Amino acid sequence: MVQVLCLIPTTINGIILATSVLATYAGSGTIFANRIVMLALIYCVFTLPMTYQGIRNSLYAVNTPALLEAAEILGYRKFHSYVTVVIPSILPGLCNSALMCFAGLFGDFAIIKIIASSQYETAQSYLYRNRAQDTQELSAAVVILLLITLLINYCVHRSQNSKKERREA
Amino acid sequence: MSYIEFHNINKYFGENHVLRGIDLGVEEGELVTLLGPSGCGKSTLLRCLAGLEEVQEGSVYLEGNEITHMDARLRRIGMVFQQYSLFPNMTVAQNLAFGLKIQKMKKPEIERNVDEALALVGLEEKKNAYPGQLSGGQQQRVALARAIITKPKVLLLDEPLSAIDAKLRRNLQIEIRKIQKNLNITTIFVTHDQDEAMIMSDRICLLNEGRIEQIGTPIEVYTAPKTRFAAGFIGNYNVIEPEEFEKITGERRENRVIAIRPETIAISRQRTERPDSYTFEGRVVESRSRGSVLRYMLDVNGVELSADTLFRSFSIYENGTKVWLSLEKRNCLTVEERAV
Repeated sequence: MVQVLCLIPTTINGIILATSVLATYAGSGTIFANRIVMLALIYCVFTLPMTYQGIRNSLYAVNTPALLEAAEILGYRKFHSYVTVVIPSILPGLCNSALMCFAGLFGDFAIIKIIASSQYETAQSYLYRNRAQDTQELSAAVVILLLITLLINYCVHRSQNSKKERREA
Repeated sequence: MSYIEFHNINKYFGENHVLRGIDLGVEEGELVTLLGPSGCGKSTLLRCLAGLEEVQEGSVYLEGNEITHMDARLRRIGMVFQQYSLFPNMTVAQNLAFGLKIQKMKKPEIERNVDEALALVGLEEKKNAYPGQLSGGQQQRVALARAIITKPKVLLLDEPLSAIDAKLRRNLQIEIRKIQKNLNITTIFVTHDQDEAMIMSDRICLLNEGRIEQIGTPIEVYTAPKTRFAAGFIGNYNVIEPEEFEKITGERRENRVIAIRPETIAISRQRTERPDSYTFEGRVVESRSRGSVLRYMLDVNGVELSADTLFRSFSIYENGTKVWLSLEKRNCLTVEERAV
C-alpha cells in the first residue's frame, strides 16, 4: 500500500501538478500560498518515488528486521535500535537518494517556471529567456550547470565505490 | 524445576499450527540441540524462548520465573542468528561493545570485556575491521562473541553454521562446544544436520511437524529411535514394514515397523551362522563410497536393504554378487508410527 501511494506521483505530469497546486492554494491566504513553500512541497511530492525507492532498497540491503532483532536481544528498544543501527547503516543509501533527487530537480524547468518564475529568476529560466542571444555569459552558465550535475553524479559514484572497496578490503 | 522449561507451547502462524503442545526442560549448563527438517518448528521454538515470537498457548520459564510474555530485551538471553546480523556500520569492537553500553558499563571496563571476548574467539587482530571485511567464519565468531560478552543466562544459536563450508564448519563446531563448556552456559542449538547435533549436544530434541518425536543423548537417539520418523531422520536406518521383515528373516514381529542400522548388517561371501542372529542371502545391487565407509544397496527377496562396511579393498563386492548377510536380533528395533 505504501509502495503504491509513493509511486503515484510518477504518473502525475509536473505541469499538471504545478498548475493544480497553484489553482488550489494561490490566494488562499494560508502559508501554502507562499510560492517558496508551494514549490518546496511540490518538489517533495515530485521526488517522493525516488526517495521511497532509495530508502526501501537501503532497508532491504541491510536486512533491517534481522538487525532490529539482534539489537533487541542485546537490550535495546526499537526506536533506539533504529537510531543507532538502522539509520547509520542506510545513511549512504539515503545520501545517494538525496543527491539523485537534487540532480533531478536541478534540471527541472516546468514546475519552477509555473510556480515561481514571476517572482524569482532561476538558472533555467535565465537560459530560456536569453536563448536567442549568443553570449559568453550564456555559454558559461550552461557549462557551470553541466559541471554541477556532473559533480553530483561523481559524488554518488564515489560514494558507491568507496562502500564497495571497504567491503572488498 | 529445570533451568529452562517449555510447558505445552502452542504457536500458530495464521491457520498453520507450527508448535503443538511442546513440553521440554533444559538443565543448567547443558547444550540441547533442536534437530529436525526444515519447517518442523525448531527455530520458532527458539524464537519463542528469545521473545521474538509471541506464544499463543503455554508458558516459558527461565530460572523458575515465567517469561512467556516478557520483552525480549529484558530476558538476558544471547542469540547468534543464521545470517550473523552483525551491525554493518560498526567495527568488530563496536559490535561487541554495543550490548555492554546499554548496561551503563564504564568505557575502560567495556574495552577490557571486548578484548577478552575477542581473545576467546581468536580475533584480536580484527578489532577495527568492519563486518564486510571478514570471512563467513570470522563473522560467525564475532556474532558468537557479541552474544556471550553480555554474560547472558542462556545462549541460543539458530543454525549458525549453515552458511559455512564443511571443513570450517567442523572446526567451528568444536570451538563453539569448547567455549560453551568453558563458560558453562546453558545453550540451545538449532540445526537440521544430524552429524552436527551428534557432535555438539548433551541431548538432542528431535522435532517433526511441530511435535517432539524423541529426546535423548546422541547415543540414545542414534541407537534407539522410537518412531518411524526418528529412524528415518537419524542415521541411515533401514525402515522395514512387518511383511518385508518376514520376507527377509522368515519371522513376523508384532506387526510393527522394524528399524535396522546399516552398519549392523555383516556381509560375507560364505554363510556364517552366529548366535541370536538372522542369516539370509542377498544380491548386491549397487555400492556407493562415502569416504571411509562403503554402502551396499542389497536386494533380499525383493526387499531393498542398505549395509555399511569399512572401505577395505579386499572386501569389495561387485554389483550382482550373491552375498550372505548376518544380523543380530537385538539390532532389529521395533519403532512406533508416531510419537506418543
